[in-house]
Amino acid sequence: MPERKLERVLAGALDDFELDRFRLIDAGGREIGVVRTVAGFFALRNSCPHQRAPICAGEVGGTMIPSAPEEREYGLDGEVVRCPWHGWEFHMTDGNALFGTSRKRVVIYPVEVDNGSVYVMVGAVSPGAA
Amino acid sequence: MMLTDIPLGAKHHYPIFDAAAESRLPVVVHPTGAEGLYSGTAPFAGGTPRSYAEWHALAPQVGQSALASLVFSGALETFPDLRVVFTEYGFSWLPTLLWRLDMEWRNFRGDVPWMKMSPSDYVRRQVRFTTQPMEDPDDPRDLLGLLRLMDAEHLLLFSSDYPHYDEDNPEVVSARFPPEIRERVKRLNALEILRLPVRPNA
Repeated sequence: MPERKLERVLAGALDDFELDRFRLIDAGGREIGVVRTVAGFFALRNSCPHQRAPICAGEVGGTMIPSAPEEREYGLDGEVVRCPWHGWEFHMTDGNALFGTSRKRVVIYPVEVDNGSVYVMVGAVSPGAA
Repeated sequence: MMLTDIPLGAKHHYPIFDAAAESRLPVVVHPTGAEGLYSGTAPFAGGTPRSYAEWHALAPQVGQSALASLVFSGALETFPDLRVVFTEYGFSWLPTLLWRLDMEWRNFRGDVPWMKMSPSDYVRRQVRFTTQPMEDPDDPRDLLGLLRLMDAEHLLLFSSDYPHYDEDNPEVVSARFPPEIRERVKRLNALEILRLPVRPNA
């Protein structure tokens, strides 16, 4: 595969990022949500792979991790986004649905923080690309 | 048998599940005939049936509830060597119930975080269903797609219910299964779930 050229798209000033609140940016027609959590910065395509819900309207946080029956253990704090429609959970670090619940993945992008600004690295953006 | 307040997957049954798993014998569940009729029995959704026809038609409801309980309670996760056979609850409902259990697991996994794989994966590993009363559509060919959807080749066991009035004739019923799965449904699936050695057909 040819190496994809990444383009740096400004998502905002570092101080603009309220904890666990997505900021939406437009990158050549792609709507991308960027969020700062206790686990770091994450960027994802604002579209759930299940039924295309605006996933960045969902909650960010942790979840109940695999446990023994009738026990509940919280984990992955700040790494999980939960779709506002059907509640599907995705790991924002790699875009995968949690714990094998689905093979569908949410599209994620690298984030760079540079000199007080937050950037999303997106593949070569052509105007109007969806 | 299932009770109003003690669903099949409840810890109340764990000593039985434990002993069954240890002795490598399947737990077999079957309607009692009293469901929905007396206080304490598993109730029917929508109220008490007013006729035996209604009762008999709706008996699979209890099996469906029991299967959902067994899966989501974590009993199958707790006892991976446990095998459970659902008898006389029908099987035509299985494909759509499995779709639905899997869907709700995807939606609400955090509610049952002990589930390490999908409900249908647990069922394929540990639960089987018997044929009688054989589903009886006007056109038997309508069964073929259903059998494929429920993976009858691996999940379905022939049963006759002999000597009840509504027993199934083995010859007639067997002929409704496609030849390529017939031997499994009639014989091999039962030998597997009973953990009996598979011998060549005499």
